[in-house]
Amino acid sequence: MSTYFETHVLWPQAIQTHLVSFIAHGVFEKFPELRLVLIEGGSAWIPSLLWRFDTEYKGLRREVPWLKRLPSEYFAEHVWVTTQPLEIAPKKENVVELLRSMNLQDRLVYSSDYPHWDADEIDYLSTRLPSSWHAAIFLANACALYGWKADDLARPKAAAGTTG
Amino acid sequence: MVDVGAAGEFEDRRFRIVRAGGHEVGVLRWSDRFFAVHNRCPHQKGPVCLGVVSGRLGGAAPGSMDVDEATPVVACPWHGWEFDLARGRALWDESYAVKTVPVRAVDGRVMLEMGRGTTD
Repeated sequence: MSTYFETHVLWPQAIQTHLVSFIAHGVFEKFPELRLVLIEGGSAWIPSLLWRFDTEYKGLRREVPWLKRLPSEYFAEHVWVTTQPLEIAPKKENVVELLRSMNLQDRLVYSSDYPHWDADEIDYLSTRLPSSWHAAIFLANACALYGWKADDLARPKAAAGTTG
Repeated sequence: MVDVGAAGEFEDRRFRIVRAGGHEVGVLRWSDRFFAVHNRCPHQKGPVCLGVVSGRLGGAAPGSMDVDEATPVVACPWHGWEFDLARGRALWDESYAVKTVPVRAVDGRVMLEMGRGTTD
């Protein structure tokens, strides 16, 4: 690779490498409470990788006999994913369908990527995802991931008599 | 009951493919035990009995491996799917299975009970 352009296209490749290692080497068997968040690498590739991962496991389980479940099952229990950069397909429903195929609407957590040049604004991202997913992706999934209570995240009200 | 040969003629841990009841059946001697399964993988109908036979490979903890010699397993030569020969079940998903055939040694002869077969 000789351009930043190529590097940027291939960001997910590095994340895929680490994700496969986490699962294949039994990290989630050794640390069953561990949660992993994939950041800034997109998400529409996840179904393809997990389908492949499960298929390969069926034939190559002997190399990783410490795994007790399908790779996709470890992913579903332990991994969250941030939204930016959401893949932009000519038909947005194609991306939505891919994400839905792995129930990623329950695992995606909004991230803006501010102040990077390719950040995703909330208003824009909202147009690319079904409105029925917004409450989860913009709040509830992050609360579940980090153990926050949504009420605690409310903006503090300005005290009476103060300015600004 | 179908007589498929003298027990002493079965090489340890090697499948012998026989025709019985109109089917290809793989018969295996594992020390003093016998196992028989249809030579047809449920995945893509490959000749599963031509695959590698071994004890079940397990791993008590990440990075460790052990072999359970009491549990013989065959790995289909086409895509590597592994099946527990006693129960026929795939190791990674018990909803997949090779058909097992009841087999036993009677008076030094290996006998198949065709027609009763199947997975448990």
